[in-house]
Amino acid sequence: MSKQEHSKKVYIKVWIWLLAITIAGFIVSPLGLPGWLHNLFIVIIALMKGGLIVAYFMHLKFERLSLIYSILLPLILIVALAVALLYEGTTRFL
Amino acid sequence: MNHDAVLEQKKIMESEWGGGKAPFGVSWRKYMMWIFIVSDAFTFGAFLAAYGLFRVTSAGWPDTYEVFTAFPFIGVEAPMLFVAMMTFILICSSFTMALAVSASYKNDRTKALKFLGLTILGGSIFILCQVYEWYHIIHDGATMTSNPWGVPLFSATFFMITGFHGLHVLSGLILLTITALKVKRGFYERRGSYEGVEIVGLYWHFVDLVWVFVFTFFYLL
Repeated sequence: MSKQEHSKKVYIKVWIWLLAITIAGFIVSPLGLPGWLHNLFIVIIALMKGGLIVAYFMHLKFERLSLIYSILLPLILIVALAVALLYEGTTRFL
Repeated sequence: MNHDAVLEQKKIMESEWGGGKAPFGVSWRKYMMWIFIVSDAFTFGAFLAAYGLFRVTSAGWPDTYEVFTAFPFIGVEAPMLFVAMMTFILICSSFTMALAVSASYKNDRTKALKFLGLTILGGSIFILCQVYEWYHIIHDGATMTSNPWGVPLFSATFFMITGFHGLHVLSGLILLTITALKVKRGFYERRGSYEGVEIVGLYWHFVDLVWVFVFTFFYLL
Protein backbone atom coordinates (compact mmCIF):
# COMPACT_ATOMS: atom_id res chain seq x y z
CA MET A 1 0.00 0.00 0.00
CA SER A 2 2.35 2.68 -1.10
CA LYS A 3 1.06 6.24 -1.12
CA GLN A 4 1.37 6.47 -4.88
CA GLU A 5 -1.36 3.87 -5.46
CA HIS A 6 -3.95 5.89 -3.60
CA SER A 7 -2.80 9.26 -4.82
CA LYS A 8 -5.49 11.90 -5.09
CA LYS A 9 -3.99 13.35 -8.25
CA VAL A 10 -4.39 10.07 -10.13
CA TYR A 11 -8.00 9.72 -8.96
CA ILE A 12 -8.87 13.22 -10.15
CA LYS A 13 -7.24 12.53 -13.52
CA VAL A 14 -9.16 9.25 -13.91
CA TRP A 15 -12.42 10.95 -12.90
CA ILE A 16 -11.98 13.67 -15.52
CA TRP A 17 -11.20 11.05 -18.16
CA LEU A 18 -14.30 9.08 -17.20
CA LEU A 19 -16.51 12.14 -17.52
CA ALA A 20 -14.87 13.17 -20.80
CA ILE A 21 -15.37 9.83 -22.52
CA THR A 22 -18.92 9.56 -21.15
CA ILE A 23 -19.71 12.87 -22.83
CA ALA A 24 -17.91 11.67 -25.99
CA GLY A 25 -20.21 8.64 -26.01
CA PHE A 26 -23.20 10.96 -25.92
CA ILE A 27 -22.36 13.49 -28.55
CA VAL A 28 -21.55 10.77 -31.07
CA SER A 29 -25.17 9.54 -31.14
CA PRO A 30 -26.81 12.41 -33.08
CA LEU A 31 -23.93 12.53 -35.59
CA GLY A 32 -25.64 9.97 -37.81
CA LEU A 33 -22.69 7.62 -38.16
CA PRO A 34 -23.38 4.23 -39.77
CA GLY A 35 -24.89 1.84 -37.22
CA TRP A 36 -21.95 -0.53 -36.87
CA LEU A 37 -19.42 2.29 -36.47
CA HIS A 38 -21.55 3.99 -33.83
CA ASN A 39 -21.99 0.72 -31.92
CA LEU A 40 -18.28 -0.06 -32.13
CA PHE A 41 -17.46 3.41 -30.80
CA ILE A 42 -19.94 3.06 -27.91
CA VAL A 43 -18.61 -0.38 -26.94
CA ILE A 44 -14.99 0.79 -27.07
CA ILE A 45 -15.89 3.70 -24.81
CA ALA A 46 -17.59 1.34 -22.35
CA LEU A 47 -14.53 -0.93 -22.30
CA MET A 48 -12.25 2.08 -21.75
CA LYS A 49 -14.41 3.27 -18.86
CA GLY A 50 -14.51 -0.22 -17.35
CA GLY A 51 -10.75 -0.50 -17.74
CA LEU A 52 -10.14 2.84 -16.01
CA ILE A 53 -12.41 1.95 -13.10
CA VAL A 54 -10.90 -1.50 -12.59
CA ALA A 55 -7.29 -0.43 -13.09
CA TYR A 56 -7.23 2.76 -11.01
CA PHE A 57 -10.30 3.02 -8.76
CA MET A 58 -10.10 -0.67 -7.84
CA HIS A 59 -6.31 -0.42 -8.39
CA LEU A 60 -6.08 -3.87 -9.88
CA LYS A 61 -3.23 -2.47 -11.97
CA PHE A 62 -1.05 -2.32 -8.89
CA GLU A 63 -1.84 -5.80 -7.59
CA ARG A 64 0.26 -8.91 -8.02
CA LEU A 65 0.06 -10.52 -11.46
CA SER A 66 -1.44 -13.73 -10.04
CA LEU A 67 -4.40 -11.73 -8.69
CA ILE A 68 -4.81 -9.80 -11.95
CA TYR A 69 -4.98 -13.04 -13.93
CA SER A 70 -7.32 -14.79 -11.50
CA ILE A 71 -9.75 -11.87 -11.81
CA LEU A 72 -9.52 -11.06 -15.50
CA LEU A 73 -9.18 -14.47 -17.17
CA PRO A 74 -12.56 -15.87 -15.99
CA LEU A 75 -14.24 -12.87 -17.62
CA ILE A 76 -13.44 -14.45 -21.00
CA LEU A 77 -16.34 -16.82 -20.22
CA ILE A 78 -18.77 -13.87 -20.24
CA VAL A 79 -17.52 -12.82 -23.67
CA ALA A 80 -17.81 -16.43 -24.83
CA LEU A 81 -21.41 -16.64 -23.61
CA ALA A 82 -22.34 -13.38 -25.29
CA VAL A 83 -20.70 -14.39 -28.57
CA ALA A 84 -22.34 -17.84 -28.49
CA LEU A 85 -25.82 -16.46 -27.78
CA LEU A 86 -25.57 -13.66 -30.32
CA TYR A 87 -24.28 -16.08 -32.96
CA GLU A 88 -27.07 -18.51 -32.18
CA GLY A 89 -29.63 -15.73 -32.23
CA THR A 90 -28.56 -14.25 -35.55
CA THR A 91 -28.00 -17.45 -37.51
CA ARG A 92 -30.76 -19.87 -36.55
CA PHE A 93 -33.83 -17.80 -35.96
CA LEU A 94 -33.66 -15.41 -38.86
CA MET B 1 6.05 -31.39 19.18
CA ASN B 2 9.38 -32.94 18.41
CA HIS B 3 12.04 -31.16 16.49
CA ASP B 4 11.33 -32.89 13.15
CA ALA B 5 7.63 -32.01 13.25
CA VAL B 6 8.48 -28.38 13.92
CA LEU B 7 10.86 -28.35 10.96
CA GLU B 8 8.23 -30.01 8.76
CA GLN B 9 5.65 -27.43 9.83
CA LYS B 10 8.08 -24.65 9.07
CA LYS B 11 8.79 -26.08 5.62
CA ILE B 12 5.10 -26.25 4.78
CA MET B 13 4.45 -22.73 5.96
CA GLU B 14 7.33 -21.41 3.91
CA SER B 15 6.18 -23.04 0.68
CA GLU B 16 4.18 -20.90 -1.74
CA TRP B 17 0.76 -22.47 -1.00
CA GLY B 18 1.46 -23.76 2.53
CA GLY B 19 -0.59 -21.13 4.30
CA GLY B 20 2.23 -18.97 5.56
CA LYS B 21 2.32 -16.70 2.52
CA ALA B 22 -0.27 -14.77 0.59
CA PRO B 23 0.15 -16.06 -3.00
CA PHE B 24 -2.08 -13.33 -4.38
CA GLY B 25 -0.46 -10.60 -2.37
CA VAL B 26 -3.71 -9.58 -0.65
CA SER B 27 -5.47 -10.51 2.57
CA TRP B 28 -8.18 -13.15 2.45
CA ARG B 29 -10.87 -10.53 3.03
CA LYS B 30 -9.89 -8.57 -0.03
CA TYR B 31 -9.43 -11.72 -2.09
CA MET B 32 -12.90 -12.94 -1.15
CA MET B 33 -14.38 -9.62 -2.25
CA TRP B 34 -12.62 -9.99 -5.59
CA ILE B 35 -13.96 -13.54 -5.98
CA PHE B 36 -17.44 -12.27 -5.15
CA ILE B 37 -17.05 -9.52 -7.73
CA VAL B 38 -16.08 -12.05 -10.40
CA SER B 39 -19.11 -14.21 -9.58
CA ASP B 40 -21.35 -11.14 -9.63
CA ALA B 41 -19.86 -10.15 -12.97
CA PHE B 42 -21.00 -13.56 -14.24
CA THR B 43 -24.53 -12.86 -13.06
CA PHE B 44 -24.68 -9.51 -14.80
CA GLY B 45 -22.86 -10.93 -17.82
CA ALA B 46 -25.53 -13.62 -18.10
CA PHE B 47 -28.27 -10.99 -17.81
CA LEU B 48 -26.75 -8.84 -20.52
CA ALA B 49 -26.00 -11.80 -22.81
CA ALA B 50 -29.59 -13.02 -22.46
CA TYR B 51 -30.78 -9.48 -23.19
CA GLY B 52 -28.62 -9.51 -26.33
CA LEU B 53 -30.15 -12.80 -27.43
CA PHE B 54 -33.70 -11.50 -26.85
CA ARG B 55 -32.91 -8.36 -28.74
CA VAL B 56 -31.43 -9.97 -31.84
CA THR B 57 -34.20 -12.59 -32.00
CA SER B 58 -37.06 -10.08 -31.58
CA ALA B 59 -38.77 -8.71 -34.66
CA GLY B 60 -37.93 -5.19 -33.55
CA TRP B 61 -36.75 -3.30 -30.52
CA PRO B 62 -38.03 0.00 -29.12
CA ASP B 63 -35.80 3.02 -29.61
CA THR B 64 -34.59 3.88 -26.11
CA TYR B 65 -34.15 7.50 -27.21
CA GLU B 66 -37.92 7.62 -27.64
CA VAL B 67 -38.80 5.71 -24.46
CA PHE B 68 -36.57 7.41 -21.91
CA THR B 69 -37.36 11.04 -22.48
CA ALA B 70 -38.74 12.05 -19.08
CA PHE B 71 -36.91 14.56 -16.95
CA PRO B 72 -38.42 15.93 -13.75
CA PHE B 73 -39.41 19.60 -13.40
CA ILE B 74 -38.32 20.82 -16.85
CA GLY B 75 -41.58 20.05 -18.64
CA VAL B 76 -40.05 19.19 -22.02
CA GLU B 77 -38.89 15.88 -23.39
CA ALA B 78 -35.17 15.31 -23.07
CA PRO B 79 -34.08 12.01 -24.60
CA MET B 80 -31.65 10.12 -22.40
CA LEU B 81 -30.66 13.24 -20.43
CA PHE B 82 -31.93 11.80 -17.16
CA VAL B 83 -30.01 8.55 -17.59
CA ALA B 84 -26.91 10.54 -18.48
CA MET B 85 -27.29 12.46 -15.25
CA MET B 86 -27.63 9.20 -13.31
CA THR B 87 -24.43 7.92 -14.92
CA PHE B 88 -22.69 11.15 -14.02
CA ILE B 89 -23.81 10.88 -10.39
CA LEU B 90 -22.65 7.27 -10.06
CA ILE B 91 -19.24 8.02 -11.58
CA CYS B 92 -18.86 10.92 -9.15
CA SER B 93 -19.80 8.71 -6.20
CA SER B 94 -17.19 6.19 -7.34
CA PHE B 95 -14.68 9.04 -7.38
CA THR B 96 -15.55 10.17 -3.84
CA MET B 97 -15.29 6.53 -2.74
CA ALA B 98 -11.74 6.40 -4.11
CA LEU B 99 -10.97 9.60 -2.19
CA ALA B 100 -12.42 8.06 0.99
CA VAL B 101 -10.07 5.08 0.62
CA SER B 102 -7.21 7.45 -0.07
CA ALA B 103 -8.00 9.52 3.05
CA SER B 104 -8.46 6.45 5.26
CA TYR B 105 -5.01 5.15 4.31
CA LYS B 106 -3.62 8.48 5.46
CA ASN B 107 -5.46 7.89 8.76
CA ASP B 108 -7.49 11.01 8.14
CA ARG B 109 -10.73 9.96 9.84
CA THR B 110 -12.66 13.19 9.32
CA LYS B 111 -11.89 13.34 5.63
CA ALA B 112 -12.63 9.65 5.12
CA LEU B 113 -15.98 10.15 6.83
CA LYS B 114 -16.74 13.20 4.70
CA PHE B 115 -16.06 11.36 1.45
CA LEU B 116 -17.97 8.28 2.60
CA GLY B 117 -20.89 10.60 3.32
CA LEU B 118 -20.65 12.08 -0.18
CA THR B 119 -20.57 8.58 -1.66
CA ILE B 120 -23.69 7.61 0.28
CA LEU B 121 -25.34 10.82 -0.89
CA GLY B 122 -24.49 10.07 -4.53
CA GLY B 123 -25.77 6.51 -4.25
CA SER B 124 -28.99 7.69 -2.62
CA ILE B 125 -29.62 10.24 -5.36
CA PHE B 126 -29.00 7.52 -7.94
CA ILE B 127 -31.55 5.22 -6.27
CA LEU B 128 -34.11 8.03 -6.13
CA CYS B 129 -33.53 8.72 -9.83
CA GLN B 130 -34.12 5.07 -10.55
CA VAL B 131 -37.35 5.17 -8.55
CA TYR B 132 -38.42 8.13 -10.68
CA GLU B 133 -37.57 6.29 -13.88
CA TRP B 134 -39.39 3.14 -12.81
CA TYR B 135 -42.38 5.21 -11.72
CA HIS B 136 -42.42 6.89 -15.10
CA ILE B 137 -42.11 3.76 -17.22
CA ILE B 138 -44.73 1.93 -15.13
CA HIS B 139 -46.98 4.96 -15.49
CA ASP B 140 -46.52 4.66 -19.27
CA GLY B 141 -47.94 1.15 -19.01
CA ALA B 142 -44.86 -1.08 -18.88
CA THR B 143 -45.06 -4.33 -16.92
CA MET B 144 -42.98 -7.50 -16.79
CA THR B 145 -45.11 -9.05 -19.53
CA SER B 146 -46.28 -6.16 -21.69
CA ASN B 147 -45.53 -2.58 -22.64
CA PRO B 148 -46.86 0.03 -25.06
CA TRP B 149 -43.78 -0.20 -27.32
CA GLY B 150 -44.68 -3.61 -28.66
CA VAL B 151 -41.88 -5.93 -27.56
CA PRO B 152 -42.81 -7.47 -24.16
CA LEU B 153 -39.22 -8.59 -23.52
CA PHE B 154 -38.10 -4.97 -23.65
CA SER B 155 -39.70 -4.03 -20.35
CA ALA B 156 -39.04 -7.48 -18.85
CA THR B 157 -35.29 -7.13 -19.41
CA PHE B 158 -35.42 -3.47 -18.34
CA PHE B 159 -36.98 -4.31 -14.97
CA MET B 160 -34.76 -7.34 -14.39
CA ILE B 161 -31.45 -5.69 -15.26
CA THR B 162 -31.94 -2.23 -13.78
CA GLY B 163 -33.77 -3.77 -10.82
CA PHE B 164 -30.95 -6.15 -10.09
CA HIS B 165 -28.46 -3.33 -10.40
CA GLY B 166 -30.59 -1.13 -8.15
CA LEU B 167 -30.61 -3.88 -5.55
CA HIS B 168 -26.82 -3.83 -5.67
CA VAL B 169 -26.79 -0.07 -5.17
CA LEU B 170 -29.13 -0.47 -2.21
CA SER B 171 -26.95 -3.19 -0.64
CA GLY B 172 -23.94 -0.99 -1.29
CA LEU B 173 -25.60 1.91 0.53
CA ILE B 174 -26.24 -0.30 3.56
CA LEU B 175 -22.63 -1.54 3.54
CA LEU B 176 -21.34 2.02 3.14
CA THR B 177 -23.45 3.24 6.04
CA ILE B 178 -22.16 0.45 8.29
CA THR B 179 -18.59 1.22 7.21
CA ALA B 180 -19.05 4.95 7.83
CA LEU B 181 -20.34 4.22 11.35
CA LYS B 182 -17.35 1.97 11.98
CA VAL B 183 -14.98 4.70 10.80
CA LYS B 184 -16.77 7.19 13.03
CA ARG B 185 -16.48 4.96 16.08
CA GLY B 186 -12.79 4.37 15.42
CA PHE B 187 -13.18 0.66 14.70
CA TYR B 188 -10.54 0.59 11.95
CA GLU B 189 -8.22 2.85 13.91
CA ARG B 190 -8.27 0.42 16.84
CA ARG B 191 -7.71 -2.48 14.50
CA GLY B 192 -4.81 -0.66 12.92
CA SER B 193 -6.01 -1.20 9.36
CA TYR B 194 -8.46 0.63 7.15
CA GLU B 195 -8.71 -2.29 4.74
CA GLY B 196 -12.44 -2.62 5.45
CA VAL B 197 -13.04 0.74 3.79
CA GLU B 198 -11.06 -0.36 0.75
CA ILE B 199 -13.04 -3.62 0.46
CA VAL B 200 -16.41 -1.84 0.56
CA GLY B 201 -14.87 0.54 -1.98
CA LEU B 202 -14.14 -2.38 -4.30
CA TYR B 203 -17.80 -3.37 -4.15
CA TRP B 204 -18.97 0.17 -4.82
CA HIS B 205 -16.67 0.61 -7.81
CA PHE B 206 -18.00 -2.66 -9.15
CA VAL B 207 -21.57 -1.37 -8.91
CA ASP B 208 -20.44 1.66 -10.90
CA LEU B 209 -18.69 -0.61 -13.40
CA VAL B 210 -21.85 -2.66 -13.95
CA TRP B 211 -23.82 0.52 -14.56
CA VAL B 212 -21.34 1.56 -17.27
CA PHE B 213 -22.17 -1.64 -19.15
CA VAL B 214 -25.91 -1.60 -18.43
CA PHE B 215 -26.03 2.01 -19.58
CA THR B 216 -24.07 1.19 -22.74
CA PHE B 217 -25.85 -1.98 -23.80
CA PHE B 218 -29.35 -1.22 -22.65
CA TYR B 219 -29.68 2.50 -23.22
CA LEU B 220 -27.12 3.63 -25.78
CA LEU B 221 -26.92 0.76 -28.27
